[in-house]
Amino acid sequence: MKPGICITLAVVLAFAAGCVGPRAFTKGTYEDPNAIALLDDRFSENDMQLIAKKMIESMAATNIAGSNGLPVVMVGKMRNRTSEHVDMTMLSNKVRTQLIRSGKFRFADVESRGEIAEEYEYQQSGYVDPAQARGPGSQTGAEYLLTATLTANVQEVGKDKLIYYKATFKLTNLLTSEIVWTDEKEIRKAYKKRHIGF
Amino acid sequence: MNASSFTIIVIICAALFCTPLDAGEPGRTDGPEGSELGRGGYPFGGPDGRFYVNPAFGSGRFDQTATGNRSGLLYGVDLGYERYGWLAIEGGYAYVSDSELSIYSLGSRMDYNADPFVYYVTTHAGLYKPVKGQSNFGLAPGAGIDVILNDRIRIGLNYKRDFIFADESTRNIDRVFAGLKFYF
Repeated sequence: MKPGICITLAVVLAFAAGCVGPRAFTKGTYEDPNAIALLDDRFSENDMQLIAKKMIESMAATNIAGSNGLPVVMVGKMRNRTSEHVDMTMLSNKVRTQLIRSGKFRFADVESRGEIAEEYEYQQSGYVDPAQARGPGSQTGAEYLLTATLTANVQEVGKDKLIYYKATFKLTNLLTSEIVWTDEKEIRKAYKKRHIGF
Repeated sequence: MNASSFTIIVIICAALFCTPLDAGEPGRTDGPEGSELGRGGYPFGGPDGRFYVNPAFGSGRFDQTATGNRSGLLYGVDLGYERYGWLAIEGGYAYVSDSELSIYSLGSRMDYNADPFVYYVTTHAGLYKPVKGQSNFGLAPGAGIDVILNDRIRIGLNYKRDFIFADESTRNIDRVFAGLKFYF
């Protein structure tokens, strides 16, 4: 066999071996979560961070007073009206965490109500020292309701795509149903379609 | 290729290699309001397109002819522009010393990245110009394997089969050479 043919065969075999072998995500590094990484055109953690940052700064700048010191807020429905799956719990948790850390708001734990009720029942059942047992009737009532809506609009022509998100947050006084604060964050992302392999 | 030409190529390569890679720092979401505008982020790979130079050294071996087989040292350089991380257009010059043959070529390269290896195929068309005699047109398909040393440097082996279309017959050359790619 001619040397040229041997070399060609060797290169082709090596090429084929590289193409058909199994591949897996085995090479990883830790990355800065605040660095923008737009790997695809879907709602990303960076969008969530931008929305949360705007809302936290805006809400913390208000001077909403509570009847007994700091206002007590409960997190209500976070509506996702986009066509994508967006974990709104992640967004509301981030906003709530930062607002609590700001020292300007207190939050009622709505998510844990079921567990708290079960614990009350247990502690009132006689197993726990009556002097230390916790029970219903002492919870702090929420004064404000925090809700949000996320909407989106997509424009796509040829290789170009524009994605627009708008997040609107509002704080409602539970006694008067007045909206005492509201703000919105607009995000527009531009994409160009490109090849990802051959 | 004379010594002065080779020196110029080396100087150009060195100058380009020293030029900072335009990776573009990704934006951040924890900066001031609006600081993210105009900033993108793609954590893998470099920019969409980048230039590279590939000095090469190897051997060129002519197929058996009336005068018998003839091998010669081969050296040359390819200059290319890569897009999308897998497609490149490139132009090259190669010189086969014993035959005193210069090869000027243009073509494309397609990569398959299997980090740390890159497999690729090339297709070139070119002018084969001996010191004595007529110049001829030829085609040179090829394939090769590179090892990625870092974002800028790859080292690899390449094989090309040249089909030179002369007036009376077609001559072939097998080119085997090692290359060192520098990306800018």
